[in-house]
Amino acid sequence: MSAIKMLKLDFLSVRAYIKSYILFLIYPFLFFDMGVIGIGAMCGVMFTFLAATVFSLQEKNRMERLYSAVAMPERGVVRGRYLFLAAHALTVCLVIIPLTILASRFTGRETSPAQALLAMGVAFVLFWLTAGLQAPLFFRYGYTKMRMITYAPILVIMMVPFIVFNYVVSDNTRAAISERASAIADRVSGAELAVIFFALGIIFMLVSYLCAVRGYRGAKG
Amino acid sequence: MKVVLSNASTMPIYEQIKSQIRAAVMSGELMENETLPSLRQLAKDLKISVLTTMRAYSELEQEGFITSLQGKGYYVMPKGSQLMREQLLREVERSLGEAAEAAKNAGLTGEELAGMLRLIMEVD
Amino acid sequence: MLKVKSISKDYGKFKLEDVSFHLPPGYIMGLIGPNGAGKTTTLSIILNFISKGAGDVSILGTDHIAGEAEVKKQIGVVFDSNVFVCDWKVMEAGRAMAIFYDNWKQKTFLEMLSLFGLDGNKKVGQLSKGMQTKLMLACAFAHDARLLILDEPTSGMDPPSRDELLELLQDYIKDGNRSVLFSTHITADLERVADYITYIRGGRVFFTGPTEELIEEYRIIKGGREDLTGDLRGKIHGLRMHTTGFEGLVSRRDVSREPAGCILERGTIDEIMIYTAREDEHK
Repeated sequence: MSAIKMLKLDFLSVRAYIKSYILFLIYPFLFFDMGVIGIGAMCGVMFTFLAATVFSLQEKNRMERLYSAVAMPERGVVRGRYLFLAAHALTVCLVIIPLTILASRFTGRETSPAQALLAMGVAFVLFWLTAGLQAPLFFRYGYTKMRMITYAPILVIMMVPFIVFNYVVSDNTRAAISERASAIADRVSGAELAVIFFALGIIFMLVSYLCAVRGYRGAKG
Repeated sequence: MKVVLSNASTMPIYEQIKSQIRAAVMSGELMENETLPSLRQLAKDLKISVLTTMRAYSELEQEGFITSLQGKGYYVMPKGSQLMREQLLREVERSLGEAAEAAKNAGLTGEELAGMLRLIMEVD
Repeated sequence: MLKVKSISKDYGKFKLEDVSFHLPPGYIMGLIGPNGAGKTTTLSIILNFISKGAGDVSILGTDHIAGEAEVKKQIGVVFDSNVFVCDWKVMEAGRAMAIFYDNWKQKTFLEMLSLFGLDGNKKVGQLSKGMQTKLMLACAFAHDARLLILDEPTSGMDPPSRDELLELLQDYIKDGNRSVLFSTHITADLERVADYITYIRGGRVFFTGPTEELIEEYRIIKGGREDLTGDLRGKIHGLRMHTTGFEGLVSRRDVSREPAGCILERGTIDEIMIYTAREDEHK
């Protein structure tokens, strides 16, 4: 019950920022040329920025004091915040549907439902990878201190393969990797991969939640 | 009823309240059975703590100037009440006792002390 | 109403040790002490905002952790700075608070806003400190809190607002069922309205009890330099020597009558704090 109350409070907190959500939805679309996977990845990461807003507000106004003053037990705070994050994860998945449709209109490339599902999986897993890392650290050490660090892994994940693939390896290896990758892609369907990503995302979420409970208690001293 | 508190006074606040109410009862300004403001009302009006008014009232009650009725507040006792009179007499006795003690220290005789008292009474 | 029993907290550098006090219903208690003495730590422990190392806290007979949700319904808190999202309008702050209290009375909230002259459409972040305090008070009244806890409510307020606040608090406890606990380092405010004082010094309770008892227990002593005997010197807290004499604080238990050449006078809570704090500095 208290988690639902906290969820309401979080939504009320970010109410003034809902406008910026729309901006953040348009932004990934600029990457439509990267294909649905690219859109999914961008959406997933973008939404962690949005979800982090509530932590920034919490820190700026030292709202932990409010959380502890109102009739709400400690665990309600963390549970409510994860419901809030889960709502974002769900939204990102839903948003991908119109985005992929629009993208295929623009590019003229056909987008299969399996591909759209894969895009969702990518968005979901990247969202929980990033937000799942952020939430416990923000709870424990605060938003400002941790903000930059928490984006490091995602940068590494997204940038390193790109740089390595395009600039480091020789043309031969590049072709070999492409071949190997498409071979795997042929064997595993987009839908299957999507399921794996969703499962991974849920695992990240659960592990992150357990860390956050400890983190919040630790921060309170 | 009039209670005026002075911050500059060396008398504690509860004493100031007590002496002013006592004077009002003795002068007849406060009539028998008249209700006094409630503890909490008086505290709020004078911007002082409830415990301070409580102390003033309960000491006045012990001295027989006022009485409390459970749940109904505080009332002024009849002026000639036995308790009040006893209290006043006891105070006179106590002060005289102190005076006698001081006189003894100063080596005054009883006669000299009585003379001094007469002089003081005349000045008043 | 509020019972605090032997609470402790060890921060390594700073220790809160064995803090106990009792606030009965219908009264105001001031929690005083120099900055860093442990006032905010004590309040934070009561609210379970930080965990205690040891001890017990009960509010209206219920343990503050075991019955946390129940206990918090009875408490209204006024923090020393804004705890709402700055961009919220006053009305939205009310809506946020209403989420957590089943017995929230919007009518009372609106009445308090108009009584305080708070504009419902103004952004919380633009309110003055005094107005922010009033907003939090309006929230506490709207959920009918029995115990009001205020952290440094008067710091940063001008004298008229302070006076107004104290009057409000007196009004609040008038029915005899509600209590107020507030921390402050400006004690002139407290001098008269607080029924009880808990004075925390260096993480320990130096005094807790009726305000008058604190004031009556100590006297300011002043005298010429030659009047300061060795015996007397040992009894004076926070002794200050100057060219024409000395001054300090004595307990009436140690010095019951005026030593030759000296005067004893009743001190204010401020003076009692100043002299005892000076003693700490010179240790």
